[in-house]
Amino acid sequence: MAQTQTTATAVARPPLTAFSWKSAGIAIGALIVFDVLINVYERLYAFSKGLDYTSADYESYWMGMLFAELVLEAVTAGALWGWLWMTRDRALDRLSPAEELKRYWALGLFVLTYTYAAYAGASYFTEQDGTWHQTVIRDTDFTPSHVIEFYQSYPIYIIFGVGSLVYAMTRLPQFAKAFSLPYVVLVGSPAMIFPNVGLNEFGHTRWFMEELFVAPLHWGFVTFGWGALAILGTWLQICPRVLALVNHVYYGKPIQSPAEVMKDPQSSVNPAACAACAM
Amino acid sequence: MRKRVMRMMGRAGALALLGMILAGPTNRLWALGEKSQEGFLRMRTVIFYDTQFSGRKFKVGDDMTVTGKFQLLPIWPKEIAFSGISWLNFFVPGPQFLREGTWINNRFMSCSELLELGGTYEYKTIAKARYPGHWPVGIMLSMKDAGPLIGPSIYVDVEGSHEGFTNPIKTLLGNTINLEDYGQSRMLIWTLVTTLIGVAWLGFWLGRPFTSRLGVVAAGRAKELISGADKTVAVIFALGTIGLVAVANVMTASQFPHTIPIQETIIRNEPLPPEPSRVEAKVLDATYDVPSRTLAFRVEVHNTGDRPLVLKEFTTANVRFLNEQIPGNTWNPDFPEVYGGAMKITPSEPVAPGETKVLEVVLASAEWENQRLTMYHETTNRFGGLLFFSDPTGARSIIAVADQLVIPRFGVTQM
Amino acid sequence: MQYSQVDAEAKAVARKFDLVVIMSTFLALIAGFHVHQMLVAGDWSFWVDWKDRNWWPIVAPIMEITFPAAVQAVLWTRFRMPIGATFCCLGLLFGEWMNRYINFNGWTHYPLNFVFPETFIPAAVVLDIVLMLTGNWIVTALVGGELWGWLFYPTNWVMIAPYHLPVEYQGSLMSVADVINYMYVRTSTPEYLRIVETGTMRSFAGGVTGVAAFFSAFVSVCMYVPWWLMGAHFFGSTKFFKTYESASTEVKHA
Repeated sequence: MAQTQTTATAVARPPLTAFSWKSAGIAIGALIVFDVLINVYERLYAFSKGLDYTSADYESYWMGMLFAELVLEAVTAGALWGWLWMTRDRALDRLSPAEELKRYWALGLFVLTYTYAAYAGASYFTEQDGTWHQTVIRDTDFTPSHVIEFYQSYPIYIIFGVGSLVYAMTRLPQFAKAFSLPYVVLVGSPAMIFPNVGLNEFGHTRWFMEELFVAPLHWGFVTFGWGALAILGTWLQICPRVLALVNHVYYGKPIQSPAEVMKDPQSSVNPAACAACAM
Repeated sequence: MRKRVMRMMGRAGALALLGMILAGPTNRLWALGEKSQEGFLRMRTVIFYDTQFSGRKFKVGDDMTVTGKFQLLPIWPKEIAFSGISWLNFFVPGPQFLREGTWINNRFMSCSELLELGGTYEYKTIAKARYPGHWPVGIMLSMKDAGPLIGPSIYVDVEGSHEGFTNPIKTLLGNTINLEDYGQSRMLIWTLVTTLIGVAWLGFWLGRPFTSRLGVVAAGRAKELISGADKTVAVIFALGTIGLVAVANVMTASQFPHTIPIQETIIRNEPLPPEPSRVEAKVLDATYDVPSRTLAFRVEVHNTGDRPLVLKEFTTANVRFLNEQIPGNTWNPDFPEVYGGAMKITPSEPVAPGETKVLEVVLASAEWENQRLTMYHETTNRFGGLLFFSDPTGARSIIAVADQLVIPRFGVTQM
Repeated sequence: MQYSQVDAEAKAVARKFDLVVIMSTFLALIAGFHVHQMLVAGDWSFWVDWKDRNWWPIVAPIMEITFPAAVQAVLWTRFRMPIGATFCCLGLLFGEWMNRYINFNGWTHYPLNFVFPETFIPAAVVLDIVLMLTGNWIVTALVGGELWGWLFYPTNWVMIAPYHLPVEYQGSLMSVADVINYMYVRTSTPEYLRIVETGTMRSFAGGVTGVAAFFSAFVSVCMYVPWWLMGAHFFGSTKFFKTYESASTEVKHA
């Protein structure tokens, strides 16, 4: 940027407070607290109540938790996704640039929360499952570690991932009229880790009794995990538009209208659009 | 209204949580996952017997000894692989006990062993209490391709504190090391140093504006983004990193001139010599009565010895049934197995030397259901186990029996 | 309104977006890379007695050059950021240490010296710099991939050498790592399950590690190429599918 003019821009600028970390801080903070509590629960009751799925203690401490969390997850998913859809913006073609920029910030925080949840599920709780299996003897699919990993940590990141996608599709012109390949992979591929539990548990039930973590039976999880890489493409789509908005809102540069973006979202991902942004 | 409901739900939840926390540990013996294995697998592969744990209460640092025998049944089901490559394992949820040693037929098991089908083996495991707590411990045999085959288990209580626990061993170079943290600070320092290189490299770049570079690259001005100084720094990083690894390796080589690879071999272990058998036994038929949870079978017994024999016990899948008509042959709560109940034998008289007769054995027990050894809804409904005969001197003859298909009796007339 | 103030605001907003992009990408990569790594090379990473000189230096590098190649393909070509490999490997190391420390060590009480993970950081920094200095991904595959394979074992040998001291334990020759495995009971990973060196020809001047690294480097080169391409053309794709309207119009016409 070699501009030296000192004129004010004509476009309304959002206040800096609009770009607050607060909502992501609360969401991720709450998830961290929740994950810590779950870990404490596991330490208290996994070995003491969770080694034999035919026992009454197992039934109350672990099956009870399983049913409760499945119901809560279904309700939360339905409520969040439904609410995002019901409150969708029906006049996206008239969206102001300042508002669009704010929404991209909200989307960024939503994606950030999703990636924390994905980290907790696919990294932390998945290796935790290795700790569990290599320490005990395989009992039931609904073993304590799975109640936490498969049926809790995975659905949580799916809720946030799909939620962020629905947010983008209902509130941002870029995603309103066409599916984004990388974004769908970013959300859909890790989400498939959850149904892949079906393959895993069928395998363990049918033929596989030794706890080799690298066994080919587990590679379904691996393949779907690769989808996390699609966050690269997702940001490659989003960044040019965000930088174009910054250029427009703060420096008054010309920008594609929301209607144009909706009609041809592909045209909005040209990175040359942000070449002029402040360095 | 909604608030009241929420409040009530909150209270109920808190109460439930409190109840769970207060319930605390109990002394009930649980299974360790074996109930997820089908009955035929547990009854016809490995039978553990004479298992003894040297105690149930220990202090940190105390040794626990587990002794006993196991037989790899000759009637091993063909549906389950028999590789023979075995590791006599010890169940404990994490190393709350240290396995100091396991001996099979008096031979130290340093690596996996090749065991024989039909063989009987005697073992001893010594484990040292390491962490205080209420721990399930047990004996099990892991066999390659077959998986974990689980023996008797008990709960033990370990008192004391892990604080100050050490595990010294002497290397062949003469120094004594504490395995609890040996090499740990070296590992941590090296991990930290190498990680810092990565963090510094990342910091060097991520301190700059990030996403806007996208536009600069797209505008064909990518060259502006990396300066000559950047390249110099990069060369220093690369050469420095490679140099550091090289120097560290030279130092490591001089610090550890004598190293050996991970040791890996399979040792063949001969079974105990077969004991002279004074009896032949063959199961003729078997039924399982579902409503009364009773396994009944007829067994033809031929006494080939010179003393009368009685059937004392039937053991399968860590469940023991005792012929309590024999004086002194009663259940001892210290036994680590599950008590199946009394074994009813008709006729109850001993089998005389040279005599062949058919005994009807009735095992009525809720444990068939509790232990999930029921034989009427799986693909293979066959039972197996060990019969223990005894003569008046107490000499035992142990016979692996059965392989017998079990006919269920549902006790209802289907419409 | 002064231009300088507007400019400062714009830069602050752009920087905030930078941070969201960096942090979320870091977390997503930990998730994907760690689940990949633990299920294709995890057992070698979990246990010190799996860290042999034959299979570990082959499996770990060839399975872990994957994500770095894909991420480099985007961060270098689109952002000119020579950090793709370091970024991935730091994330992986973080993910591994979190569980090793909290669960393997804190919960089930395995000593840290039994369960510490390998490090790829030095190799990753070198891989990034090879790409930066050559600016060419094929050369990076060839030179960087070779270095990646060759650097792995020496990088980690510094940490694992102490566990290869010989011990006479109960009359048997064992390495310290073998004794740790023996004593610190691992209920469901019996000894025979280990995939470690079981003997070799002495055809590579008597060396085992060298030939393993040689092979590993070769496969690392080969793995780099498809993963770079996947990163550049699939995971880094900016494709939008047809808009719902035009897609449904086409269906109607058909």
